[in-house]
Amino acid sequence: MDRKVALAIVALAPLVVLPCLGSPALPAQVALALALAALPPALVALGAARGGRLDGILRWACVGLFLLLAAGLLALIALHEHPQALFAGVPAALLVLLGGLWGAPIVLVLWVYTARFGAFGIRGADLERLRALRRSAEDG
Amino acid sequence: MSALGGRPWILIVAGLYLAATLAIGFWALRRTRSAADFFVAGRGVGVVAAGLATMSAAFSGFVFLGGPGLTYRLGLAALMINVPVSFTGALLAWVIGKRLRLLAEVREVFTVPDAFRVRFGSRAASGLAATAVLVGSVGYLAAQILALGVLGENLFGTRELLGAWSLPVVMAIGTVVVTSYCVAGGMVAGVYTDVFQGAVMVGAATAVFVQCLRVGGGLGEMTRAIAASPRFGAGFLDPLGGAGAAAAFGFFFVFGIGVLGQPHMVHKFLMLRDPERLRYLPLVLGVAQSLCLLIWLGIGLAVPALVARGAMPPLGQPDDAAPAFLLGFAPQWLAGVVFAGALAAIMSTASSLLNLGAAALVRDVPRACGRRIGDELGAGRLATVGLAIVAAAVAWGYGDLIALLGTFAFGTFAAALGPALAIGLNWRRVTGRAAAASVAVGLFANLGLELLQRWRPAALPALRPGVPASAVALAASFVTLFVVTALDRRAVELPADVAAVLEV
Repeated sequence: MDRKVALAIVALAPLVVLPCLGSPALPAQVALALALAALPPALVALGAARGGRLDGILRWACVGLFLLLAAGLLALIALHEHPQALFAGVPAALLVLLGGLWGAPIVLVLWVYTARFGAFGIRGADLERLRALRRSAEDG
Repeated sequence: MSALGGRPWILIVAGLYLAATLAIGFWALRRTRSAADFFVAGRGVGVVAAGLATMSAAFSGFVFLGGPGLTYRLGLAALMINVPVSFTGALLAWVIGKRLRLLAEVREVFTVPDAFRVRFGSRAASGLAATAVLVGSVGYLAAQILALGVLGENLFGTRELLGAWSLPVVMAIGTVVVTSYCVAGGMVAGVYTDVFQGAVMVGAATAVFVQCLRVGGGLGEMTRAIAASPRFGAGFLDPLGGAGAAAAFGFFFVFGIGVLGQPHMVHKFLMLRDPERLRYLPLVLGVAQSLCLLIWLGIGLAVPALVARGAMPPLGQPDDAAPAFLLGFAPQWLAGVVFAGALAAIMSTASSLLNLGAAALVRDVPRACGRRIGDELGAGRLATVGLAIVAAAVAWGYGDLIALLGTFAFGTFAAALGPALAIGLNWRRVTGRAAAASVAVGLFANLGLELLQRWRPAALPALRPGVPASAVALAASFVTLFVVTALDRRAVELPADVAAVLEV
């Protein structure tokens, strides 16, 4: 089920991106931001699903990544009208770029990838099975 | 910038760097005995080496020279190219790395077109992928050679000595250096020089970022000076401002998702000695990339702030931002290390692409045509020289911005290879026909839109200003893949071993 949802998102997102890239209207920008935020976690889910399903923590991490990216990109749209908005003496848009779109996602993604590798990554048993297949093919 | 005679440490550090790079190349010569050594470093690379090599292959002179220049021109919009590194390392490993590396366990997979041939069982898909690798590699290589020439001119002050011949002469010398260690050591040389160069890049970028903060007075001080300046103004600090939302989001799309089609990055997964060590690759890659990008952020803000305060004259060319800061506001040893880092960035990317382009020529294109070359190792060396000459000629005759050539090449790889690899390795319903159609649409749409943007007949509609052609081509390539897959009603029959890889 998880993989099917991910595939549907990956198939639909470019259909949103194509027309919205050509439109300066606010709704098009918002749709573009949401499509761009949805693509990376959907691709992660597609690559990480085993037997069509995602590990529970990974599923929440994908939702978290979507929320972080969507919040960051939508915040940039909102701040477009207020480029001088400051937070702690630094422009808010710069903080969104550095903290919301760079810092927070990298911590989330690298932690989940490294810590949950056993749930979606390469296991010794997979390697043994594939190497046995290769040996049997070579033996004819 | 030509007065380096009074700054001996810059020349000494850059000279030491070049000597070390050549030494690694010739050390690798003795370790290169087979085609597997030449194309995938004998599949014996550790995870830290693979991570650093992936980073240094990915980050070219664009990060060290073009990036700060682009920020000077566009403002924070240019940083939309950078922010996707927060997820691209892990995305690559999740979506491509695992199954590509496993495919190499069951079949002989040395290159991305090999992976197309094995996964889709289609010579058309593999041949088109090889063509895309070749076109993109020549474009990327030409951009690196041009960057090498521009940097070398600044570094050695040759413009005063050689006049109009300065750029071609420096480009020729740089091409000979890179080509000689690639011909000698193939991918063994490429990957270990990448590791050395990656370490130099990370160290240089981190040190220069600290220097930028020191000179500029911190992020708050720099941004206040920029916002108060009539030359830059508050619009500089709006990521959707300088180039418009379409350009900013287009950058995010191409550099965030298009990374899945970059063969010089994907290729490194094939070299990993132990597939289970893939667990740590995104960690090494993500941290190294983030540290390296600090130079873009630091100089990108420090130079406009210094210009705004009147401490630096306005730049004639935006690409002069990094050299102007280093020569005017950094200690000599640091400028030397950063110039060496920039040389490292350019040369490591060039070496990876020379190897990939050579593999496409002597291995992938012939196999797609149903032929094999007997001595792939010898032919690979010859092809490396041929490609370098073609790319140098393109660089010499190009006559435009380095960044535009580099963006076109990144976009070619992204649009042509990204969708078919990302979806095809994870969904067994994708057929060879769908993969071939997606590669063809991505390749020709990107090329066609780029050409139309330069020489558009009045009767044809234009893309919205600022929209990257590669973003449109990438989206079109995704749509083509799904539409052709949906329309192709043939049952997908995969060999047992390939099906087993897709099920892991």
